[in-house]
Amino acid sequence: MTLFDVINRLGFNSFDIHETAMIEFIIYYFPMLIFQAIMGTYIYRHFCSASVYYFSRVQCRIRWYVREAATLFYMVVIYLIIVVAITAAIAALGGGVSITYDSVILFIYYIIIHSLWLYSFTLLINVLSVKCGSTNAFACNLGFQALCMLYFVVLKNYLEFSDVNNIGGRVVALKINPISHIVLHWHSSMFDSVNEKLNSFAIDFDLNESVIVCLCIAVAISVTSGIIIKNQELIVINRESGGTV
Amino acid sequence: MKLEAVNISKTIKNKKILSDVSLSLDSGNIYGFTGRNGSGKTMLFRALSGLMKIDSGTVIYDGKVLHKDIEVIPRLGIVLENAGLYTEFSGFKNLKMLAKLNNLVGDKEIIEAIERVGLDPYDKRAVRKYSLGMKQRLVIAQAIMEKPDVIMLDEPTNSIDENGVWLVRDIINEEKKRGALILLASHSKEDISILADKVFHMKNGVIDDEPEVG
Repeated sequence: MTLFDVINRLGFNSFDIHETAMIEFIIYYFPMLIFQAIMGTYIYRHFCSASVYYFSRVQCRIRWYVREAATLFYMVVIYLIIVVAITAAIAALGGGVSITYDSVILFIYYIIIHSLWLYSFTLLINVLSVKCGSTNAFACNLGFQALCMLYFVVLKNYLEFSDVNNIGGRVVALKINPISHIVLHWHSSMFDSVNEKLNSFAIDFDLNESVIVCLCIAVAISVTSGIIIKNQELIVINRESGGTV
Repeated sequence: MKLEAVNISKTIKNKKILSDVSLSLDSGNIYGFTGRNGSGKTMLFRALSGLMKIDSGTVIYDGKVLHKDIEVIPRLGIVLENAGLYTEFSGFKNLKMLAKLNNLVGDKEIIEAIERVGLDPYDKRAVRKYSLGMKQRLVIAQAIMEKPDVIMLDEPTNSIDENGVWLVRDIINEEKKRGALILLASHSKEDISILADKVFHMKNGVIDDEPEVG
């Protein structure tokens, strides 16, 4: 087994456009949900009961936010590296894992694309929590990600995705769904050795394109979150226990 | 140091909570704020500290305009009613987390502040296990630990036993002697009459009349 196979599996290579594969997708998506559940209050916790004592000491809230968001991103990257390391270690127990040139390239793309995705949605939970409480924020975020997954079921049922002649429709249908960008084995690559092992739909869906899309999502969420956090007034205290004014 | 409010107003959900409030406060004095529940004392503290934005008017601290030159009052110690701390951590860890934001004080000063309010700095219990009075003492400790220039105390003696009340009064007087500008909101007429140099009475978001000299 190569590291490429390990990463490809973490990048949802077993996922295909049919209902039963959805279950497998959710299973592989689980580490992301765990991280979101744990770190979904990383920034928000400071807006809870001790908020006035905390923010009365913060002289520049934007600078504070940039530092917190950067730390969150750093933790996302470390988490994903740990997930790869643990999965590779388990695979190695069953007969060794070889690291090839294409493995390294796919590893880099995996870390960039998945970390931007995971960072974006974890940050979104945090900032939505500031506005509407952690339960609502987590439900909204999870709901959106579930809708992205359900989109594939709709895709299969109404767009005849399996039609091999409908390449153009297939490309548009995939790219329009943000979650498609984290499914690595649908992608094409400028690196031939990587392209040979991915690109299961034989379409033009470059990994670099997904890097740009995920980067745009991350930047958009980061900037919006920064504006919300800077302007958040500390009037309602302890939203988690009902909100005391 | 001078803290000034010029015609500040704030409306929340169509309710005017502060209306054309003007004040001028100087260091080394204790200003008492009285008024019924909902009269606007806490909101005034939030507005003066920078924790809440105002709709109109200006707050000026040491020549700097709040929300223009500065976001919050620098070197501020604040106690607000109903605001708590991190309940899962010990008292010391709570204060340490807050102190780390500006690194103005170390462990020694934190321990001193906790001892000053009559608590045990080495108590490992989580704050959620503290009594109401102990939580209030700890909140006062966080407000004074960095020797702030401005101290805003909203009902600081709430839930505190009689001995504790005298301890808090002593602390407030010591902070005044140090040169801090102190704003004290209280329903306790005794607190206000003993401590305040000037008293403002608030009613429906406005300062009712000229300050009374204490």
